[in-house]
Amino acid sequence: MTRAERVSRNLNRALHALFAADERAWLLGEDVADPYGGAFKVTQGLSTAYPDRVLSTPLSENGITGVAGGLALCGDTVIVEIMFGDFAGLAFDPILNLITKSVAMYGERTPMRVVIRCPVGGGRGYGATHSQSPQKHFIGIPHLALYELSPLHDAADVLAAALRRDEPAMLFEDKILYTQRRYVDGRVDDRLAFESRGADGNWARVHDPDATGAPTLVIAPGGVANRAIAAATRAAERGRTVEVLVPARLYPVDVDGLRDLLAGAHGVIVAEESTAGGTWGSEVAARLHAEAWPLLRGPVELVSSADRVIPSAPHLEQAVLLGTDAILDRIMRLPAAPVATGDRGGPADAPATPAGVSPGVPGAVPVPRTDPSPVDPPPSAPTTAAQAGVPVDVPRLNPNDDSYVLLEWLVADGATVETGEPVAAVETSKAIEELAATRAGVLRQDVAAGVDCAPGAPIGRILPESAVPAPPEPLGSPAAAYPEQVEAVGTRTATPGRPLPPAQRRIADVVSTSHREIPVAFTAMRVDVTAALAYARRAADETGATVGLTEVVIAAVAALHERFGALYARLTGDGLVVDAEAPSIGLTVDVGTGLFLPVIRDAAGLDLGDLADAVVALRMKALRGRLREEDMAGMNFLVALNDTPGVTVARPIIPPGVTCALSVPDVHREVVLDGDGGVRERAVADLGLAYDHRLVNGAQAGAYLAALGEVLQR
Amino acid sequence: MSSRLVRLVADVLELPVDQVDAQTGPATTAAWVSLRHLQIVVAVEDAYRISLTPREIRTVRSVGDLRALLAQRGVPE
Repeated sequence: MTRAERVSRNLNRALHALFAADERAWLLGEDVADPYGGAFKVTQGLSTAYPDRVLSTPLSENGITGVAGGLALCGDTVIVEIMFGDFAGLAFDPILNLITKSVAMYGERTPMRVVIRCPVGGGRGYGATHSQSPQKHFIGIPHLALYELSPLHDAADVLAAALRRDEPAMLFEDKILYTQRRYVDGRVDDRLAFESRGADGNWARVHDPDATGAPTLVIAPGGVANRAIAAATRAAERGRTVEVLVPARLYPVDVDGLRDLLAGAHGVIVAEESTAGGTWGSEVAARLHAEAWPLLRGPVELVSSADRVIPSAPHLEQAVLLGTDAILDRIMRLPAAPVATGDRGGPADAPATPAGVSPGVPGAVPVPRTDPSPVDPPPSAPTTAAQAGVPVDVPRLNPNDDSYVLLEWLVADGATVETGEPVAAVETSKAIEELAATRAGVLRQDVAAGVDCAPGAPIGRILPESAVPAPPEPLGSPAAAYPEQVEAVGTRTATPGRPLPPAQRRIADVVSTSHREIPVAFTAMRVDVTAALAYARRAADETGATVGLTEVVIAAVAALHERFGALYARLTGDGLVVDAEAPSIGLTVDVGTGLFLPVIRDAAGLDLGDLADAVVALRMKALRGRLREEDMAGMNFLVALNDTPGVTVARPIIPPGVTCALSVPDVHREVVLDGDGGVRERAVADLGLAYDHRLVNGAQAGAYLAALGEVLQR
Repeated sequence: MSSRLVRLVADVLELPVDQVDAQTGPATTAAWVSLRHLQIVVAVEDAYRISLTPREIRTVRSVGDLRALLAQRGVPE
């Protein structure tokens, strides 16, 4: 079976294909531009390839969607990214009253090609306002179709189907799916196959080709599909045949392609992650009851998440959201199907209720475990939970970070803390957060300051004071049962050293990634910059701009883009080479508190004065701390300034996503022989070119530096 | 003239105060490169709570020019 791409990559590729094919396509959303590329990186590369049509917008879902409506009224195609589907409510008015009604409100049918993308669903610990599944709130709006991303459908096909209708659509994307791989080649695993059914291949049917029993059909949209498939596999181990049906389009509900399956099915369950009540599942059930009742063996059953606000704590979130166990429970509560089809009902299986899951009624929900878990310590374990203390966990502080830095402990190891007292400082990519003690007790530090820690991971614990021995008697009897704690509390010494400052840590991350991912080679060449310096002085006098060697070098680098395209190209993770349409030159700006890489876009289109002004503007922004992400996006070549007096040559770091970095060291003077035997003085700089050896070879690098030298000597 | 302005420029250029005078500028001092120029501008803006226009940023070429600019704005050096 082919190793498939991840769902987010598949969607990203679909968007790139859309923009390549449709020059009137726009993408609007918050933080969608490079290098951020959207909260879930789905739009990465789009703003670089289509900077005029992929726009990071202000934080206004209402405004974004309204602008999309305006563009669509003008005949354009618009993709809107709502960063979290929970915020789609803020766009409800323009969806309800502008973009959908515009299709039929002006006396003639008006195409409205808008797709509103909404990352939805939980499972990531994002909590109450970033984890919901709001699909049901958009059902039944005239001219609005709802789609959902799935691992069984190609995102390009889904987008094409949505746009082909010439009416607005919403595309819901379960966040859990983004990092999962698609199913391809008609196989889910060794046992299960899948096939497309219905118009536009709307339905994906996951089934066991070798199964003989009448199947239970579980209808599940994309985000729940994998949970339904897992439940089907576990049900098969218990002798049940289960097929999973996954639609690309949720609404309008289309049952074409399912009738023969319904006729042979033993039961039908609709599983969805939203809360119960007014759901997509109830819409499906209504349609099936109306159109296929004679084919059904009983009413369609619904299963959904708990009627609760979604918690952040993983164990509570797991209890509230629809999971595999709840789907399996619903499957197993159906009467077992006879192997020979044709009979209704039959002897009921004993409900195989998983531990801690309530059998309930339609809409019933899993509840937290109350029985002993297999991984819980046995009663005879040497510690009790109370005596072992409570962990100091690092909560997920920033949804975009996979790890944080434990910056420092605010309380000494072994010290007594009060409830609510800050005990540690953790640095996310955006801020430094303090972690407070959740109970009073004695702090035990299990992780040294300066190390990375994952969200949810414990970094220490707070022990009850009763579990901690008094210092003079460290091995006293109350704590003798806890030798680890006795050894640790009060005797640990902090690991020597200090954490990197935040700004330097970010530099360290980039440098480390560069070293890890880019096989770099380096070539340096001495270049006579006498003429370039004179040119810079003349330009400064003529334009009044601040022109120096830096600006002249940037201009020369931009001018060489057409001759040496490979040095400005980008190698993708799939091994594809993406040429740069125009030279966008990054420039190192070291402001003392951090190194920034602002980008001068389309530098070849600027005269030297404008280029110098652009450099000044970016440097001033850096110095004033006002650089924005778009100021640093889209780089395809880096000019690294290493002009500290006395530096003769420097090997620059290539930022990930770039192929070449040119270092410009300090200029020094030397005396050389003329062709006629005389001597003359000249200003020289040893320009260094670091290059990704996968894309550029040594001969190209040498030729490039020689050409650069020629340009600078003109 | 070890004024506040001179100390500020010397600090940015990482030079001894006695090496900075009214003539100090990019033409006389190797350390006064384009980035340092902007760092001096930002330091002056912060220290004297003023904002230089792009044209002023361009035309300031020495400590003397900065001093004249402050005088023009009525800001005591």
